[in-house]
Amino acid sequence: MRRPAFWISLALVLGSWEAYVRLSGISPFFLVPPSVVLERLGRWLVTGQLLVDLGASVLLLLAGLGLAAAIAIPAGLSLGVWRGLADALGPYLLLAYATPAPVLLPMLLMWFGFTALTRVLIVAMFAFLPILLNVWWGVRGVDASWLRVAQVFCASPRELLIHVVLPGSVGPVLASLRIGGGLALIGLFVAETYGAAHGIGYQTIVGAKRMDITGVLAGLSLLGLLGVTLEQALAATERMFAPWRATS
Amino acid sequence: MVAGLLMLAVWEGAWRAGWIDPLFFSGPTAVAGALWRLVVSGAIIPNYLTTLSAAALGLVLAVATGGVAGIVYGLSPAVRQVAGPYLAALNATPRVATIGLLVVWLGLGIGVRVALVTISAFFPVFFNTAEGVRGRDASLDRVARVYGCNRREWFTSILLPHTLPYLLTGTRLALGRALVVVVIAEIFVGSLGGIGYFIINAGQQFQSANVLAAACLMAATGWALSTGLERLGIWLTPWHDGR
Repeated sequence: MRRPAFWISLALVLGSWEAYVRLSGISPFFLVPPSVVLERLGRWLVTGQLLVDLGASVLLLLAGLGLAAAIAIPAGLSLGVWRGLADALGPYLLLAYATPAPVLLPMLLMWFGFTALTRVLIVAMFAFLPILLNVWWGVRGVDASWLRVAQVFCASPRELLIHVVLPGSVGPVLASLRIGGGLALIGLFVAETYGAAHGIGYQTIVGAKRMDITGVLAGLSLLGLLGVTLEQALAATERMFAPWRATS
Repeated sequence: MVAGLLMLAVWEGAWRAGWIDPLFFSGPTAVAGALWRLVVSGAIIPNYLTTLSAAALGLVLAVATGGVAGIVYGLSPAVRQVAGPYLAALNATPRVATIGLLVVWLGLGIGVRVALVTISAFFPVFFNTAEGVRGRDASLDRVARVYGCNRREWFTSILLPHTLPYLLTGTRLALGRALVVVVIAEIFVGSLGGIGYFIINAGQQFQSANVLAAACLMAATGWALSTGLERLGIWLTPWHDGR
């Protein structure tokens, strides 16, 4: 925010974009100037449409992310703590992780139809494995020297768990949420294709179907805004609860 | 290994016992049979190849551009100052959402999918490479200067070997993204063909065995490519320990 170089470059980028569209006479089916996009965003805001769509998307995102986290975090912690479990299930989880998530989409549609539950499950599906695996790796990566120090002070396994492993995992858990959040956003876009009537992704898709480039660009900028906000919020949470970690 | 075979046996048992409705799910032998039939009849391999080729092409482009851009970004504070916020904002945006735009600009050939894969896979490669370059030990440069390295020698003997492991880690992350994104693109735009189209089509006709067969194919592919990249990384950079 304090960098003049950035604001100057932004003005230059937007300015040349505007100038290019206006001067080259490019078809509005191909590209529209930023002023038109901003006007559309303004109209969405004024009519209250923006609030409805933003609310619907945020709700879906939080529901899906929350569901994924509620299962993935305890599962990841268990895998990190119990070696035997990790050895037994680990390879299959890695195999599942290597599979592109959208491959399960038809199954979800077959089982649950085009309902709101399906949409929540789609978002959760995208975020689940990244969160689980990153929590697992985070717990496993808890500094071994901490564990040894605790053992030198005669800590029981239970004390080790409560006083070293779990607090040491807070950072990785929050970091995994950040990673999962990015994928959940992709899941949000996919989910809002199926039976949604509101949402930022939905508006973008509708725009694309109607060849309405202005709508698509407006929707994209809102999705970007949503993504940046989510990332900043999660990074701030990470700083609040695990200030000893250096967040990128 | 044992746990996996046990799970497969239980699954097959449930399938044989008729506990699983073939409309919604399937059993291991049925899936294997379906996969065999699909391959032999030529129904799945052309789709599979078009998906893979789009993903591979896009990934190569992403690694080339991401690597170069990452090195530039890591080396130049000025570039980081100006471009940083744009890149962070672009990274936070789900690039799959641009599919509508890309179809308008690029039509419905292989170019659309390659473009989408490139813009999606670019960022993991870029950020990992940049992080590797930026976080390098300052003593590396100092040692180079002490030994009288010129610019070119410093670049090829110090910077590139140091950066390569980070580039490869980024590529492994980008691979996952590439596959996800190309399947999504095919699901969205049916006329592109590919595995995404195949799987949605089979799903709509409730051909559960086919859906699962395609899913297994993609799982095996993803796993094989990921492991292959890992081995390649170890072979290319024996000086780098840990990941």
